[in-house]
Amino acid sequence: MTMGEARFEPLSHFEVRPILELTLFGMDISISNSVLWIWLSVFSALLFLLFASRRGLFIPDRMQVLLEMLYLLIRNMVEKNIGKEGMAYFPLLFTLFVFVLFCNLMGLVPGGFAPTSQIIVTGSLAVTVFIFTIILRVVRHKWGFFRAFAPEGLPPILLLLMIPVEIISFIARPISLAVRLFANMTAGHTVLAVIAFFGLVSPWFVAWAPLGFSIVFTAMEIFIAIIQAYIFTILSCVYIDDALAYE
Amino acid sequence: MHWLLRLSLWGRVKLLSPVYAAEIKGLPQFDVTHFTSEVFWTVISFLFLLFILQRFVLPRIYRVLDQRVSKIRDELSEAELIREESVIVLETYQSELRGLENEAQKILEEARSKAVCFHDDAIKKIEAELKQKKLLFRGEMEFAKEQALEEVRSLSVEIAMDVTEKLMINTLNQSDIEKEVESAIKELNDRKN
Repeated sequence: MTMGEARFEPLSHFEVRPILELTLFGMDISISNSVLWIWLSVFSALLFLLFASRRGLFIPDRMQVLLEMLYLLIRNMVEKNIGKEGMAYFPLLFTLFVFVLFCNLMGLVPGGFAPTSQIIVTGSLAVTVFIFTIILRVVRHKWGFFRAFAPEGLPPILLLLMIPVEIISFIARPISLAVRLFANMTAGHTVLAVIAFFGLVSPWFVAWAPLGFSIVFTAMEIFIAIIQAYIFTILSCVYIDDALAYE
Repeated sequence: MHWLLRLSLWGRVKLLSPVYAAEIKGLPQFDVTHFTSEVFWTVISFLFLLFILQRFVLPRIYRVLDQRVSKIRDELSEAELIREESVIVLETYQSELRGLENEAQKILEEARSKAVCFHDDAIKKIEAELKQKKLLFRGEMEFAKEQALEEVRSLSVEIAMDVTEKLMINTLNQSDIEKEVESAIKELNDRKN
């Protein structure tokens, strides 16, 4: 994008730049800006969670109330979508929500970077959940896992159509999970960057409009960050329930 | 205002040279160069967070919530016990109250019947007294009446004797006779007083 003399690249914000080159058994494990922001997200989440739960008060203080609300939100989600049996997977789902939420929110810190705006980060999480549900389904239903792709009672001719459809819809799950989160984060931050750029290159008497809009949009981005974390977790819940309940 | 915008843009966008801008093709997220390290550190960070939460944070929340639930449950059962006790106490009080009410009613009835008796006795007593007083009074009246009649009779005799005496002594005209009768009555009155 060109505006006067300035050349502007709103997607440059999403570039991954290596900071420290590292390898492990020939595998690249370099530390990049994205990795640093993942660590910062994890550190912030731990700081909040450990601080809020440090005293374990019977009558909770404000931070503990916030933590308990978060806990109850996820517990209700698990109980509603999976049932009592789902409490075994509660730590995984709670961690997933907290991880995605803090990664999303990091993008709203000035100068920050949202690790969830990277397809590979959201993809890693989605594939982790996907592999976990496959393992769960195989452990629970053994060879019944494959019967899920061939619904019972269908004429053989329709099976030719249904089996590919079922396989595609099954494989599409992690893709949709990853792309939804990545696309939301990318779009939100790009729009924010474009609006801010308009403000930067406009004359002072016009610049207030993009500035005001960027403030409103930031508020909306906070909301989107929470909603997207919630959606990612609830869909993971649904997939786990699907793996458990399949007959 | 521009410094605020610069702050919001900080780290978000880059003002690029035309050469560098031309190098970038599509979304930078699809550049596979660092995918291995990204996957590795994402999974490691996630597992680390999972470990810490499961080891330190979640047990604390479980414990606090369990304590709260058990305390609320204890207090509820205690409240239920107290409620049951209070129902028993209330029933005892109510039955006692009913007994007392019955007793009060009985006392009231007794008092009422006693009052009626007293009332009847008093009326009878008063009536007897009145009757006695009436008889006494009637006797007295009869006596006074007879006495008065006796007096009148004796006075009439005296007057008649006086008048006759004077008639026999003097021949009197009408006015003298009247005068004599008047003086005789006056004399009688003076004597009486």
